[in-house]
Amino acid sequence: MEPQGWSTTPGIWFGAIGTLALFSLLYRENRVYRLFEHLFIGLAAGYLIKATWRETLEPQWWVPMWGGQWPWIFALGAGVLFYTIYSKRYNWMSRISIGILLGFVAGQIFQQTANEYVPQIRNSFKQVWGVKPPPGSAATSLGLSLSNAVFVLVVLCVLSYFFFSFEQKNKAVQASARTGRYMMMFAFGAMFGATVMARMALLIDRVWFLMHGWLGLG
Amino acid sequence: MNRTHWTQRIDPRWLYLILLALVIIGLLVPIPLPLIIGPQTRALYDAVEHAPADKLAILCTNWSASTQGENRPQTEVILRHLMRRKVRIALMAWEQQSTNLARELVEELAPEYGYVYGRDWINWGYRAEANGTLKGMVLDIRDTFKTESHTRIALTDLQRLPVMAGVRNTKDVGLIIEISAAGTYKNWIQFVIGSTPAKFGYGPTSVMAPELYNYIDAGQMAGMMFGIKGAAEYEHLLIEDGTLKKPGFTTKAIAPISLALVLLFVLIGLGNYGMIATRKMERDA
Repeated sequence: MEPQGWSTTPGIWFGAIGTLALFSLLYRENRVYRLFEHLFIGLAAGYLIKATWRETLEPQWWVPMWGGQWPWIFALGAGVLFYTIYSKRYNWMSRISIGILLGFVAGQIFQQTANEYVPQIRNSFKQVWGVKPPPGSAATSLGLSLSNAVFVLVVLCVLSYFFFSFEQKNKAVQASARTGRYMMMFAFGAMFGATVMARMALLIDRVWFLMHGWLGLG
Repeated sequence: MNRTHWTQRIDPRWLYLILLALVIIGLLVPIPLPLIIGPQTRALYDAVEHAPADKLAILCTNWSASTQGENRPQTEVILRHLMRRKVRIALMAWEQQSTNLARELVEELAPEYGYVYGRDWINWGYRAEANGTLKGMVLDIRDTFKTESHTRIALTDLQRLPVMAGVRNTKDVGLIIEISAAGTYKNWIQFVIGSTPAKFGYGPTSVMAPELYNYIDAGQMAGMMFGIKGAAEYEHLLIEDGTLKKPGFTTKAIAPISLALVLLFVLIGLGNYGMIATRKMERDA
């Protein structure tokens, strides 16, 4: 590997100093870390306001309103009502906007639930015997049948764990619920493992930035 | 007398130092590790490979600088694949930072593949609210976004934006991909997928990936990239098909990740051993 030398770009230097300042917390709590933490939060908040205005409010609301679509002014009124929640005297007014929003969301829930969950429920009814492998697939009928059977068994076990409407006295239900709990533990373990991998990936990206982008190594 | 096992008294800063050293070694020293392409990555690759070349592909991003370690390489491999196939691309974002981060990435890659803004790609910009935007896109994309994001050219101006030719709503789109650090894949599935022939592919952070297999199994998603590992697998597929000449950062990152995970296995083992040993010491005392 040929060292390419330190970066001469001010933005890279600022990024590198910011990264090191935030990593300094790993050694101990310090003022430099706090300074950069607040700097980053401030930058992100400012960026959000700017982006929301430039990308959404200005083209979607401000320009059309001044371009003749004057009813858009009522959107401002509805939006401002949300902020009355901070006033003891007028906070009842915020319920008008919240109610309108809830109405919109409730209406959407039907479509959301149907489109998201119905295909998955339908897909959970799997053929557990005599499954035909897709053309060109190396899978066998027995393998696919077994795979589907495991799937259905796990679904039933996990569902039985959530039978809270009655006391689980039956031994079969108890065993099924316990198996369902273990299956969920496997899933949570997989999620935790994936979370660790994600954090490592983010660390590696930052270290690579410092090594390659800033110091010119690698 | 301190009645804790020595493993319980290790200063965590030593562990951070060991982790850092392993990451640096993994990045500097080439360690050949096998990379098995997962079926979900291959399925995503196939979806992009077989997306109609004469139709627009939507690339939606929902990531910021905080997760760019995973999401940027994912975005890059998808962009390279689409650009190699000369598919028209429309960028859009649910995250205010990613609208610029993704745009910068396209601008970086565009000269390599001869992509011209307005003709081959367009940026629809950032939208703060997903549900309303998606419902609007199902009806009329031009009316939903009205203008592109760079210079505010109206989407109906096909003279200056030929990329929008033949695109009225999501039925006219050939492929939808989202690269995301949040669960906005649900919004696409809830409001768009099913109303369009376009396949939907997803690039989540590793944190989110395990919960997505249901959607792939049910056919709601064509495929996905499992975090940075998925991006490395995709990069490998792009090397196989000649889109890429050599592995990039993503493939390089697999070795340090593997080393870091081995370290974590060891530390988890040591931590549990130390806890049991401490309990025994307390009982014996």
